[in-house]
Amino acid sequence: MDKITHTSIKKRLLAFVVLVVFVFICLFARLFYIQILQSNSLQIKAYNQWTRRLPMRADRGDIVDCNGVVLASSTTLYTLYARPNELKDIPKIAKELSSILDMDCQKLQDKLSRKGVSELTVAKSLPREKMLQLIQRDIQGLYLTADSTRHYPMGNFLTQILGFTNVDEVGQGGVEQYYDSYLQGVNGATITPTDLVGKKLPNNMTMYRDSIKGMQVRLSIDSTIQSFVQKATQDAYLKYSPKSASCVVVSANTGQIKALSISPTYDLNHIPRDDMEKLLAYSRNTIVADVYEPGSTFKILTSAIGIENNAIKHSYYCGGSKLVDGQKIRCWRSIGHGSQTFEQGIQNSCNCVFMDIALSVGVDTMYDYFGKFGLGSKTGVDMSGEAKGLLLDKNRVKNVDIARIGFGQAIAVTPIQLAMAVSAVVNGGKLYQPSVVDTITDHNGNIAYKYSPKVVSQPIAKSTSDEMKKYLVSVVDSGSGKNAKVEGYSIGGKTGTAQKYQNGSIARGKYISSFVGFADVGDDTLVCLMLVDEPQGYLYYGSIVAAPFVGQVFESIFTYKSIPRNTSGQTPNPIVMPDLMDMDLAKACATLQSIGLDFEMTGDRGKVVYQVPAGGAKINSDTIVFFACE
Amino acid sequence: MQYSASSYVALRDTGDKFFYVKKQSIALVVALVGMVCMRNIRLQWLQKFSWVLLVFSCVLLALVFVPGLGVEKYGATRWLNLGFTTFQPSELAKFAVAIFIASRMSNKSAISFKTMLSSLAAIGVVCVLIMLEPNMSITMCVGLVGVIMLFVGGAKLKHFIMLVLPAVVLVVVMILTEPYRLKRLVAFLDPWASPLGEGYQLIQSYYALGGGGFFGVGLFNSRQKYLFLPFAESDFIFAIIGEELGWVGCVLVLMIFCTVIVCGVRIAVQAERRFDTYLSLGVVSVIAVQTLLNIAVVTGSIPPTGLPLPFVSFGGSSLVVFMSAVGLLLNVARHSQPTKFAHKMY
Repeated sequence: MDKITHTSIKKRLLAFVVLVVFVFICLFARLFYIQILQSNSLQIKAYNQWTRRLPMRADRGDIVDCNGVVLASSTTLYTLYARPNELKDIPKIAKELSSILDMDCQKLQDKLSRKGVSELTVAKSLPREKMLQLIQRDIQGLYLTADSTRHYPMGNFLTQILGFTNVDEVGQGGVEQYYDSYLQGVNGATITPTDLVGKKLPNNMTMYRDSIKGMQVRLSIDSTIQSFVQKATQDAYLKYSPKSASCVVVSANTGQIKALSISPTYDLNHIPRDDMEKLLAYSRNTIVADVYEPGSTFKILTSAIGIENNAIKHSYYCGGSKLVDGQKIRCWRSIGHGSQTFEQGIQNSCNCVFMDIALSVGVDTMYDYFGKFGLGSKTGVDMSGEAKGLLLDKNRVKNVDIARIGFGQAIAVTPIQLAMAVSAVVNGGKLYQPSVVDTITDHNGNIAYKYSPKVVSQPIAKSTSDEMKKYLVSVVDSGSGKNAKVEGYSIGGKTGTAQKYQNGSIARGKYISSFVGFADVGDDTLVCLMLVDEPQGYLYYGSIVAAPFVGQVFESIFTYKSIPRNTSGQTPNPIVMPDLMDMDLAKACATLQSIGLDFEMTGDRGKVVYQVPAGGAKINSDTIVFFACE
Repeated sequence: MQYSASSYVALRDTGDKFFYVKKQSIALVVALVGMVCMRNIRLQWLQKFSWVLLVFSCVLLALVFVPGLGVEKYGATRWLNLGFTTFQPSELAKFAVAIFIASRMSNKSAISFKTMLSSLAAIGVVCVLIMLEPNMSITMCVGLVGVIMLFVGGAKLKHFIMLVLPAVVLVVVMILTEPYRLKRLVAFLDPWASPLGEGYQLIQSYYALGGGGFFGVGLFNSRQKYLFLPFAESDFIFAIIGEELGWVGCVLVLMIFCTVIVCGVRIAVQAERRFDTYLSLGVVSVIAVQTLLNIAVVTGSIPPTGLPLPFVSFGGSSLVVFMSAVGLLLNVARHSQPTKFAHKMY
C-alpha cells in the first residue's frame, strides 16, 4: 500500500486550488459576457416588464373633400382604469365614482375589490368633462387613457370610398385602409414603473408621452357633386330595385375622381358588423373591384379606334343581323336599322356597324389599342382590391369574337377602366391614372403627398378625340342618349345595355343598364358613368334606366358651377304621350313615328302590354319612349 | 445587500421591510457564537466523535420525514420545525460528511480501499436521505465534496472510476425520472423558449445581471427585486448583487470568496496534523463547491438548482453552519505553525 506523503497532499491541494481559480476565472468571463456585452439587449427586454404602459391613442387624421368639408374625423374619449391594489378606501372611491359616472355604487365596489388583477377597466368612452371631473378628484390608483373614436359626419356618404376603421382604429377598406399609414398618428403613453403584479413603485414618476395626430387626407371628391351622384344612385335604386346602382364622376383632364356612389349602402357610424355578408357586399367598391360586360358603351372605343385607323365607311347597312364566318350575330333591333351613315350608326347604337369596324381593324390592332386604353390591366387607382378586367387570349380570338367585342360583348372591364378610357376619348386623347386623394398634410401643415396628373398613354390623336366628341354629343342631342339631355347645355354620351352571364351562358332577364356621358364644366371636362345592375321589371335599356340620371347629375352640376345656359336653341314643345296599350307592334311603331317620338321596345309580336310614360302624360318631343309587347 | 434584496418582498409579505434582515441578524449572532465555540473545541475530540456527528445528522435528516416536524416548502420537505425557528439538517449533514471522511482518512497513513468504502457509505447514506427530501443540489454538493476530499487524500484513479461512473449514471437516471429536473435542464439550454415557465427564473436573473452593466445601478436601486426575480434574497442574491454593484461588484465579491478558499487551503497545508489538513480541506471544498455552483446557476452556466450562496444568501441554518465551519478553520489555523510551511506553499 502506497504511503501518502505530505508533499503529495500538497500537490493535490495545489491542483484543487488551480481548478477552483480556473472556474472562478470562467465565471468572471461569463459575468462579463452577460453584464457588459449583453447588457443593452437584456435591458431593452427587461424594460417592458418593469413598466406598465397605458396607451394614449393619437387622433387619427381627418379625411376632407376638395373644399375642406370634413368627411371623417376622430373624437377623443377617455377610459378609466383602476389598479385595485393601489386603492386606499374602496367604498369611498366607489361612492365618488358612482356620482361622477352614473354607475351603481355597489357594482363599482365589487368590481374594484376584485382580487388577483393588476389592472381593470372601470368605464369606457367617457367624454371630456367627465375626464376633467375625475382629474380634479385626483384619486390614487385610478388612471385615465385617451382613446380616439372615428366619426363620419355625413353618415352613409361615400361609404365605399372612405372605408371604415376597426375598434383599434386601423383602416378597413377604402381610403382608411389605403392611406392608413398617413392617417395613423403616433400614439403617446403613460409609463409607470411597477413591480411584477403591477403595483406602482415608491418614489417613481409616471411619465407621459404626448401623441401626434395623424395626417389630414384631402380627397379629390367634391362633396356637392357627390351629393348629386348619391341622389341619382339612390333614386335609381328605389325606382328599379336593382342589385345595385352605381355612378362615378371623373375629371377627364386630370384623372381625379370627383364623386363615386354605390347604392345600397350603410351609415359609416353604424357599421353592420354583426351581418358580415351585408357588410362585405355593401363595402365592396364595385366601381374598381368588379368587372362587367360594357355593352354598347364600349362602342365609343371601337369608334375611336376605327377613326384612328381609317376603318370608317361612308355608309353601313343593317338588316337586323350580320353573318360572320357563317355565324349570324344579331343587332339589338331585330327589324334592323337599314342604311345609315357612321354617325347615324353611333346614334342608333347599331351593332352591325361596330362589328364591321372591329373586323376591318383586325384583332392585332384592336388589342394594341385595348392595351393603350388600359384595358386588361389595373388602372393603378389608389384604392385596394382593384380588378384587371377580362380580355380573351389574343391568339384565340376568332372573327366572331372580335365582331362581338366591337359592340362590347365578350369582354369585361371595370367601370373605372371604362370611365378612364372614355375620358381619354374626349379629353384630346390622354389616358390618365385615376386617383381619389389630392393632398396629404401633416399636423404642422407640411405637405406629405400632392397629386399630380399622370398620363399613362396617348391612345388616340386630338383630331380623333374632337371628332368623337361631336358624334357623342349628337347621340344625346338626337340619338339613343336623348334622355340624358339637359336643355341649353352640350352633353355627349353613349348608352349601354349588357346582358349578364351566369355560369358561362346568358342569364335571361338580367341586364346591366348603363350610360356614360361627358360635358364641359368650366375649364374641366367631367365624365359620368352610371350603372344599374339588374333593374327589375320591363325596363332595362340603358337609354331609359341610366341616361336620365346622368342628365340629372349634369344639370345639378351646371347649376352648382353656375354654367350659363345656352338659350339660343329652340325650346322643346310639349307633346301628349299617346296611349299605346293593346295596340299591335306595327301600329304602335307607326303611331310613335307619326308624332316624331323615338322609342325602344321589347317583344316581337302581340299587343302592347306596358308603356313608359303613361298615355296622356305631357312629355318633351325628345323623350325616348319605351313599350313592351307580349 | 441582504436588506436591499429582501426589503420589498418582506414589506409585501409581513409589512416590515426589515423582516428578513432581523431574522438573519439573529442567525448571525447565533452563527458568531457557533464560530467561537468551534474555534475553541478540541479537534482530537471532533476526530474521535465524527461518527456521532454523522449519525446525529442522519437522524435529523430522517426526522424531516416525521409528520409535524418536517416543513414542506416549494414541493420539498427540507426543514425541521423547532418551534421557534426552522432548521435545514442538510446544511449540517454536508459538513458532518466532510468531517467524517477527514477522520477516516487520517486514521491510516495511506488511503485504503476500506477507508474509501466507509467514506462512500457515509456519503451514500447522507445523499440518499437528502435525495429523499428531495434536494438534488445539496446531494451533488455532498458528492463533489466527497470526490475532492478522496482525491486530495490520495485515492487511486481506478477507485475513482469505480466511484464516479455509477454516480454519473445515477444522476442521469434521477434527472430523467423527475420531470421537473428534465424541464429545468431543457430550460437551461434555451430559457427564451418558455419565458413564463421553466425559463422564467433564469431570464429574470439575466435581466438583473444585464441591468447592472459595469458599475451597477447602485445599492438599493435594483429593479428585479420587485418580485420579478424569485428567491432574490436567497438562492439568486448574486444576481441582485450583479444588478446593484455591476460587474466590478461581482468580481469583487468573487475575489473575496476566492481569497477565503485560498486562505483555507493554506490553512490545510500548514495544519499540524493530518486530520486537521483534511478537516480544513473539507470545509474549504464545501464553501468552494457551493459558491461556484451557485454562481454558475445564477449566470446560467449550469442547469438551475437551488443552492444558497454561502454567507450571503438568506437562510439561518446555512449561515450558522458555515460560520461554525469557519470556526473550525480558525481552530486549525490556531494550532498550526504558520512560519514553517508558509514559504513552501507559495
